[in-house]
Amino acid sequence: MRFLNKVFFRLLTVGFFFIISSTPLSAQYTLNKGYDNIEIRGSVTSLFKHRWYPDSAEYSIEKQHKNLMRLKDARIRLKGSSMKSKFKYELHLDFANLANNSNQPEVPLLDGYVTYCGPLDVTLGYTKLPFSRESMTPIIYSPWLKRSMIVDEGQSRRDVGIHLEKGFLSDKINVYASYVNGLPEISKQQDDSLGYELVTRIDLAYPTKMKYRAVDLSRSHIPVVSIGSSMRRSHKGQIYDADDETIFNGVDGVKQSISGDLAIMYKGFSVLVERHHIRYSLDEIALSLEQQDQLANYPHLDFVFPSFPFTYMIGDDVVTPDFYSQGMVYQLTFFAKKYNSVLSLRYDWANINFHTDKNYLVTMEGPNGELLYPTRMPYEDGKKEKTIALAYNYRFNNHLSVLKFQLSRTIFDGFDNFGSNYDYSSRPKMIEIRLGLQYIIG
Amino acid sequence: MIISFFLTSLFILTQPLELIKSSTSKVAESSGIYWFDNTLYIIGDSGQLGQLQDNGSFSKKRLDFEDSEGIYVDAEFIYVVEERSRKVILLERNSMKPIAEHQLQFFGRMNRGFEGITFNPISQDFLLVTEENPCQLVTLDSDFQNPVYIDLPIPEASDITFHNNFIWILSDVESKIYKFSSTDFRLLDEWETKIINAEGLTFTDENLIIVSDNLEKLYYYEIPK
Repeated sequence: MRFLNKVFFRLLTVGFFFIISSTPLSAQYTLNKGYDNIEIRGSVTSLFKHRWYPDSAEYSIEKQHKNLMRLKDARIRLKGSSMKSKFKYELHLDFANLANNSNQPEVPLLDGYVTYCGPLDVTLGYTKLPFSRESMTPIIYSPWLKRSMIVDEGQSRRDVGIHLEKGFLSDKINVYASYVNGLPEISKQQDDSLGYELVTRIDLAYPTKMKYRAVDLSRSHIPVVSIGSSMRRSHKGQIYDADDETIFNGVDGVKQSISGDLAIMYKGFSVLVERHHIRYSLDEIALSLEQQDQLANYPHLDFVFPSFPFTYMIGDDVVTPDFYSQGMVYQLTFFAKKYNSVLSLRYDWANINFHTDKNYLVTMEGPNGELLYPTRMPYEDGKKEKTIALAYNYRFNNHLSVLKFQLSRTIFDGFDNFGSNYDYSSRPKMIEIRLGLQYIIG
Repeated sequence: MIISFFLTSLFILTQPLELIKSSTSKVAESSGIYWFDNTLYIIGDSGQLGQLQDNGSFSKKRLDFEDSEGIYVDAEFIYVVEERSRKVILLERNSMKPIAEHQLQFFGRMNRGFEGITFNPISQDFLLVTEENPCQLVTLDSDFQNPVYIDLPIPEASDITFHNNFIWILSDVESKIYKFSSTDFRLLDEWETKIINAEGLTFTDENLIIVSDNLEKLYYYEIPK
């Protein structure tokens, strides 16, 4: 796998430099051939990350391996159009993902799609999904080096399929729909689970359209407001983890989510508020009487049915309660043009993969009434984080070459029910700094 | 360039413009305007071309453009600049039929190409302006040959016009109008606009007009001194 990645990486590198060197001017970024246009652009972001736990020097030492310098992005993007922009396309790769040898390398593709721009924009391929203003805002247009937890870890943000988009009233109203695989793999040839994921979004802006940007660079002279709402639904036959084990691209059952966002921009200030709510309704499993008899001795059936982590039995009935993820983001940003600076304050919280079934704890009681697994699966507690963070950006130019600094304080609670079963309430609060340079090529 | 920008910031005070009235442009994503022969020509991003007569009558035609951002009109032709594909398209003024196209070069980002076009009657040059990264003035002879690229001491531009022997450049992001010398391209003065997405400017005998792309509105101002 690593050998193939290296070969792929080198081929891409050679290909890129071949494109650059074969053009008449080595400094050019956009090439034109009639109405065929292609733009070469990229970005490199490297950062320094340091964490400490002020309440526990021991924990700070234990976690010091998390402190490191990191190549966050090494991206190259080819974007173009043809036939007077009837067709548009993009190929967007991140070599930093390929260069990650410490764990399993992530998918290097960020976007790979073709769009037919007619009465309706129809996109086929792999790209961002239309949900959440924060998710749809490219990170290079954000003052942050890391997204909020509910957006970063709540749901998959990209997928392959068909994506529709239509703007009304000069794009003051935009309607989106994506019909995608809902799988972590991009080029899977068979989907044993069947079922797709539908993602829809509508946003309305007034008095003018609002791009997906986090900073009010043009310091709007009048307030511009946007509200958006997104819904997602899939019905799968298996559980599909995303690249992070706490995210589920799909579950054996119905995954539904609804989110809403509000954004305001005025005189350099920008406000973003988002709310996310995800529900996973697992399909009921059919067990024969013999199977039920065999399994009656197991109070925690997830060891028997790893795809049904919330399954338990009451008498002869197999119960599969719904579980949820929720989160909110509040963000206030100010662009101080005179000082080429951006200041941003963000508060976000998330509760990932919790359930609300009180009976589950009853089932966990032992014969004498004691809890058999008192630290496991408590009511309404998933993996919980609350983070307050401050970001400062210094903008070297108008081309998004930015020095980014962020300081955050995170309080942990709850349980990682699907990964390590880690009890987050035992983790002391964390302070983290990230300092990075974002440089845009092109 | 940095020193020039610094000195400009120190010694030029931004002045406000006096708004007289505003009205709808009636053209989707209005991105360029030019007033000629008692008619205001308004070009939209996707090829709508509106003509607003001084007497108030209005007509609109849909033309086959890709990303039309700027317009200039003379007695014979309408000149439209295409941003993404770096072209100037010539239309016969009365029939509005395309009769020629000139491919130009600009290697900046695809959506940061030419934003406006005008003509300098003194030097007999066409003048184009690029949006940003870099923000440049491009001079071309009357046959659209011999381009000269001049870095401007402003970060962003959204249209250009020629009036009263000066070059006037509009900036959407900076919300300003800049007045430049037409001989040595020195920045002479600047005014503040309070318009969202100001994409086009032109002068009539009595007014300075700015058009907003997203709001699709025309703003009429007193001509700054």
